Amino acid sequence: MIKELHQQLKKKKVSAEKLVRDFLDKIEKKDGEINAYLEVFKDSALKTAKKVDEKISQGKEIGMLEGIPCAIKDNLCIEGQKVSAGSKILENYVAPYSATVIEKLKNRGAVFLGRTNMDEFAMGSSTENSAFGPTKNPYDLKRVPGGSSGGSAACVSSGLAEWALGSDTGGSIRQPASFCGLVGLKPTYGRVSRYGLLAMASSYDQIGPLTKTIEDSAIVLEAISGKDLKDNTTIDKKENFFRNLKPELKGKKIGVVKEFFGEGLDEEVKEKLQAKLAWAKEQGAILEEIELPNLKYSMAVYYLMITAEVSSNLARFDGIRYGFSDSVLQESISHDLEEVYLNSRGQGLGNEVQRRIILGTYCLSAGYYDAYYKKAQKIRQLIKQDFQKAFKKVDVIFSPTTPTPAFLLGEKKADPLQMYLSDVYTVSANVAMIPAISLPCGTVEKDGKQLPIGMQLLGCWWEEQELLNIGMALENK
Amino acid sequence: MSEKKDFIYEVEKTALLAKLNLTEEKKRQFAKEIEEVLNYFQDINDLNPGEVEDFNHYLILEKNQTREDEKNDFLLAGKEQIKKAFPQRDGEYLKVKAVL
Repeated sequence: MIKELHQQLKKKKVSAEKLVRDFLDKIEKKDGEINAYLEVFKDSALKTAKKVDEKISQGKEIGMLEGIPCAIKDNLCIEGQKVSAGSKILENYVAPYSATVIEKLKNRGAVFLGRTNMDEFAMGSSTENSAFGPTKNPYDLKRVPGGSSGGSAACVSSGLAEWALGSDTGGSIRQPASFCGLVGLKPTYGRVSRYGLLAMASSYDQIGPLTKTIEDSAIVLEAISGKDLKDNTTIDKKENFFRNLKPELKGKKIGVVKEFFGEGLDEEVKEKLQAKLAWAKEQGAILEEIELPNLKYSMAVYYLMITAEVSSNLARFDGIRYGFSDSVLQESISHDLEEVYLNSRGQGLGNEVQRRIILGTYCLSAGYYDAYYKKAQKIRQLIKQDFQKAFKKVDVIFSPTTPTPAFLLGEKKADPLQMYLSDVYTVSANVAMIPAISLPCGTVEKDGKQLPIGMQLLGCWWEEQELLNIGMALENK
Repeated sequence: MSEKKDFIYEVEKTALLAKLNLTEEKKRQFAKEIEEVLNYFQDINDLNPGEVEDFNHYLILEKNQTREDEKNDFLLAGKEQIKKAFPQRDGEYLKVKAVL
């Protein structure tokens, strides 16, 4: 836990360098089978750690994240380091600048251990869509860690980083957090700057922390959030999430939506979640059934809109200015510029990315734009209005994070629709732009292995503190 | 989206718009999968949202950001990095295949 490590550093019980070396040793021993990291930044991590040690030896104060080793999802730019978004098309691309969240963490002395594996361009729910091989779930190596931030989740869960950054477009932080027994937070859209994040769907993407505890989540959120002139969707709203953290449950109104507990939800998962709700009630929380009439359209709205945004965001990967290009291959089959585009994209992008580009381009093309994209945009507004009404009645909404615990590698890979449906509980938060957090809710046994499951709290816009405080009370059971 | 064959044609047309070279096998595979996904989402056809009021969750609507037209050091510093990333270059220039 971050606070404990911070205390140890401050009291000189351990040096920052020793801390980093311990993590590097563990990565060396364990990551061969987990495949959480795409690259380990050994030299720069040790260099940062030594600077922190110097500061400590001079008797200077250090910040909470200073000297604490963390991992960064491979779609966040760190100046001078490779950033590939799990794609062959960017395999050797070096970031010319750092993302705002990276700058913020650098200024706080955080130690970056490496970049973590992910589904290509964050499209997927299992990390199987990475061009560099799948990541395994530390609880059962035959299972997926979730995705798309699967590498980030697996490395924190197996002790290969103290905490990690992920990005969440439809559940890509919360779903892997749930599969790997962690806390995963997707902030309100506009809370964290997206500058330097390789965009998937710009009106859905948010960066957030994957941590072992709520407390760590609050510490990281505080460090990365805030107004950024380079992302005009961010707002100026400074909050002390860590200092204001206190477990709260008594008198809190928890909304329960019937649809979230219906068909498709694993029976054992359902039992665990209901037991948690019953416990919350005993502690003085008030449970209230609420209705979100347009919730059932979330999946359609999500997939129609994000694929459209994907198709335009990924148009830049064309083999001309950077990344993989068919034109430089010895066996190049391109004769003119047009063919360079077609062939570079045809060979450099993976199956799922191509599928979504086609679906998105189709939804935006003449004759279908009104029926799909425009309509989805309108329904998005209706869903937001549903949540607005709901949050007049309740403080948070409680739901599962995923319908089942971690599934087997290969189980859903051949069936995109089934893979999409594993996001059924998480996408609505991105559709409505509200904050949501997944936190551990015990384990269930599958094939003789204990697998973690997650519960999700959805909050009103900008009410991350409420999520953290109620989450902390539920976490403490 | 009636016949399978028609939808393969749609995928073909869309792939050209999206500048993606797809193999025949991939076209068939995507046609089947995308049609399945679109069919699954048909339920939005039942809904007629009509005119919907825009809902904005921002407390304060942000104004557009404008900057002075000044020399930007970042652009100069990043220039070398950006040039290094060119797949093909000729001195200071980015080299591409002929347009025609």
